[in-house]
Amino acid sequence: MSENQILIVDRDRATRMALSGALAAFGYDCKALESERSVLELLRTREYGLLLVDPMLPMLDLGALMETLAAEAIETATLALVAAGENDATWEKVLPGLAGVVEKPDGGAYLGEIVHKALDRRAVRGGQACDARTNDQYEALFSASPDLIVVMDKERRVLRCNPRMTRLLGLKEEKLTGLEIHEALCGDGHTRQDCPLGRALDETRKDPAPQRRSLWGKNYDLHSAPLLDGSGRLWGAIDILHDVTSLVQAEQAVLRRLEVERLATNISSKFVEGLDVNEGIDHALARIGAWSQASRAHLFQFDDEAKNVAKTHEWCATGIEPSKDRNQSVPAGRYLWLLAQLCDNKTIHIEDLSKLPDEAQPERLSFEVQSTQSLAAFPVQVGDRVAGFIRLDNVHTTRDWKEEDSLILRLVAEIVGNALERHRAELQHKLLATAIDQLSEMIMVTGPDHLIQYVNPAFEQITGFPSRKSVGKHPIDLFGHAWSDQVKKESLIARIESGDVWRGRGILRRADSQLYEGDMTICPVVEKGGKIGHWVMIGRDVTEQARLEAQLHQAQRMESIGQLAAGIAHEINTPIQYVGDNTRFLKDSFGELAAIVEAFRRLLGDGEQGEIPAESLAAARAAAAKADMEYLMAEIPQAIDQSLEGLRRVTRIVRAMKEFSHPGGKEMKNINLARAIESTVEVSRNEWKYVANLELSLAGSLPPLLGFPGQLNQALLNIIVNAAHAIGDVVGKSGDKGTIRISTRQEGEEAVIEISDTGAGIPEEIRGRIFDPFFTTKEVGKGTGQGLAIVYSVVVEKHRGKVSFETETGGGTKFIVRLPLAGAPAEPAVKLPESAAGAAL
Amino acid sequence: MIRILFVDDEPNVLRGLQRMLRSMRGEWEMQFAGGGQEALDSLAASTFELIVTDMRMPEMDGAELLDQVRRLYPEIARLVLSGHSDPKMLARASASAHRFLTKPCDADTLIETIAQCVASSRPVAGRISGEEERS
Repeated sequence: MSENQILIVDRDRATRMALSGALAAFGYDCKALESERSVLELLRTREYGLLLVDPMLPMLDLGALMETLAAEAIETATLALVAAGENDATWEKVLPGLAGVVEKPDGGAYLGEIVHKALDRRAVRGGQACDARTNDQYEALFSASPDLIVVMDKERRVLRCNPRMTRLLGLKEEKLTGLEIHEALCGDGHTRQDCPLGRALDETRKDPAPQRRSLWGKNYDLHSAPLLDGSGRLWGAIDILHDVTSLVQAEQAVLRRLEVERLATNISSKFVEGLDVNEGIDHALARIGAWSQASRAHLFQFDDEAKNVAKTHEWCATGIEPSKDRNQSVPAGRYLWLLAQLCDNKTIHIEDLSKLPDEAQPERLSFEVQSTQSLAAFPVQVGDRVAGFIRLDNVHTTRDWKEEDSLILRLVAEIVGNALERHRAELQHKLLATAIDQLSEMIMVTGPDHLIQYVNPAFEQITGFPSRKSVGKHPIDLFGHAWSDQVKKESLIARIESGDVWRGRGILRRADSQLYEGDMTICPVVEKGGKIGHWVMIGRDVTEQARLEAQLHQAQRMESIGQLAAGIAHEINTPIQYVGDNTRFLKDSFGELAAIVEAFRRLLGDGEQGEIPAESLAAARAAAAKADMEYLMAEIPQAIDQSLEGLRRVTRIVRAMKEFSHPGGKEMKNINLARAIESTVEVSRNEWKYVANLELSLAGSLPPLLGFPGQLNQALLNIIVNAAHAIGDVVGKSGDKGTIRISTRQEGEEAVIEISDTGAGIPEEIRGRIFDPFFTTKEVGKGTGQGLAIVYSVVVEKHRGKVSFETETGGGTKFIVRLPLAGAPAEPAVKLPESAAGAAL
Repeated sequence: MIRILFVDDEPNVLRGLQRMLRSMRGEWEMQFAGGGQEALDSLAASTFELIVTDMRMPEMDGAELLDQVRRLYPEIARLVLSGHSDPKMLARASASAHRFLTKPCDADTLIETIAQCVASSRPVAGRISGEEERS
């Protein structure tokens, strides 16, 4: 409404500005003029409800102006602007038409009141004076206003109500008219004294600012304005009630959101502050319980397999009994309905137990026991798994859980979930850290610059270098040059840089310069993008173990040689026996021959002298007859041949023994596979010759094989002896013989050895276990169960070969050994993704 | 004449014994068998005072052979001449043999032992000498 504009006329700029500002603050629209010349012209536009003017302006006769205004029915009230301290009512006497006096520069403390009053008085005066057209406008405004408007007299009796008001109250205007305002409208049990309406009538409660009140379930801003007659006397009041319910709701929502944020911050800060996670959860439950005015707040957690659920934390409001089932594990299946919802990551609101579905019968019973009437439950996620839930119970009251409750509860559930996740990760971390500290293996971690970053206590103990002296050093500086040579030789760094794990043994130096043998695994930590960040070395001092291993290996060889010894002795003793017998025979025969030769020589001597005496001839005949000359001539060459053959046999077996029991050693040597097989067959002859014929089909042109001769021979021997035993079990003492076939061939870069027997085959149920150490089907005392385990160890672990078998029940077994011909790495290098050296089967 | 049966699965051993013991042909009548079954056949065909056998033979080993001989012909002296010297074999042999000789065994020892066994009216295993047994 333009009539609310105020015109300010004053020469002083500060006054104009101060007044404009102050009036603008009251919601008035001001126009300020420095000059008084065009005042009348402006007022004639009838756009100004009030004129604030300095009465002393030289170009203006204020009295004349006011008369002109009245004459022209321009409804503009006039206030005089006077210097501070000059407000002595003189002006009001001089100019009775003045609505009041206002002090410069800013109008003083009562400016709002004075201006308000001046405008009001004008309205009332105008009401009496206005023409019918204006009256219609007011009436239209009154009827159409979205606000509730009520006009009352000085006694607070209702004079008018606008239609909005009558609709709200459901009564016609005539029924309301004349009633006292607190009876007519409030109906909220207000007495006359505390009725919020008609405030403008009550001097003690007079306050131009609107008052916010809750009425009829809604929120209103109450404006109350006094009604004055022409002489300025109070005759009634008009109250305007502006509905601000939605504003209030929005405000409340904002406030609530702020509160939620404060709560969430408070709860999460407890976890961040390093409070124990359980204390943090207790705190969170207490805060959320109190905030939501619940009776109880609990945290339930599932065990690792989600089979059981237990109440791990509980908060109870004052006067509420704590529940008795704390920390009791309950099978998760008992409350299937509830858990199904939660595991679906849904929230649950139950306003009233009676609203639970039928399938939730177990839950209902459980809640009833705890006197729970209404509840809300929220899943707590740890990682991507629902690890438990928070439940809020209300005892004895039903409750409608609101959307914003939901919001905060979800937030708290998330905070608790995060805290639990962190807690679990910390536990895991602690566990690993403890394990690493307690480990008897030494652990060393180096950074990307290859300098040591961490060593565990076992490292300190084994190497003698304390952590403080190790960290920041290069491993080679610590471990000495023997190792650095090895590192260079095996291009260890290059291998690790390429992402491989290095495993091996090396000679290392202790702090006291003593050397020891370390068994180490060094693996790179591959970061995102394939970059090698850290190296982790896990190692053991195997000096003692290496010594024991060497001893054990020797003992195993001695044992297998010992097992062969009886057989070999037999193989040697038998030819020695007949070589000896034949030699003895040759000695005896020589004596007899010598006698014959002597007799014949005499005969010859006699013959050369011309005459052979009859007795010489008889003696020669007798000697020849006595010695059984025919027999000797036939037997002696045979005895010599058989003796030579016997000696060959002895020679062969002794040589085979020597070859077989190769002293070995740690270095790989070139092996002639055919010779190795022949020796092994020879030394084991006594093991198989009574049950089997042995057929060899060895490729003559195999390139030499790099390996450990002693170990390889032993592996071959174990397979051959096994084959002999397998056949022996079948043929028994029948005198029949089976066949052992051994063949070699080259396939690509591999030498392939096949050893087959005509035994009974390996029963299906034990095929997967035959290479296990100590696994044996032989009777106690006959086998230690180590035979094939040694084969596996020698072929796969020592020579990087493969061993497999084909077997058919009743049809014999064929073992196939594949050995890399040359260049098999001395130490296995394992690509990261693979877990271990692949088994051959 | 003393009749002696030699048993061994290695023909060269039998031939060697035959040659070596030829000097005893005036006192001993020797027969030779290549295995347990052949030996039992010979024993069934004629009378012997002594049997000398190898231990480790296919089909029927020396221990089994001597066991049968002990049951069938308890009067025959039983002597082992074996290439094996391990204790297990000895234990098995001692159950049914009177004397145990190991290969290689020289002619004198063999002849002497055979002579002792034959001379003894009740030949026993080697731990008791034949001289003492005669009293």
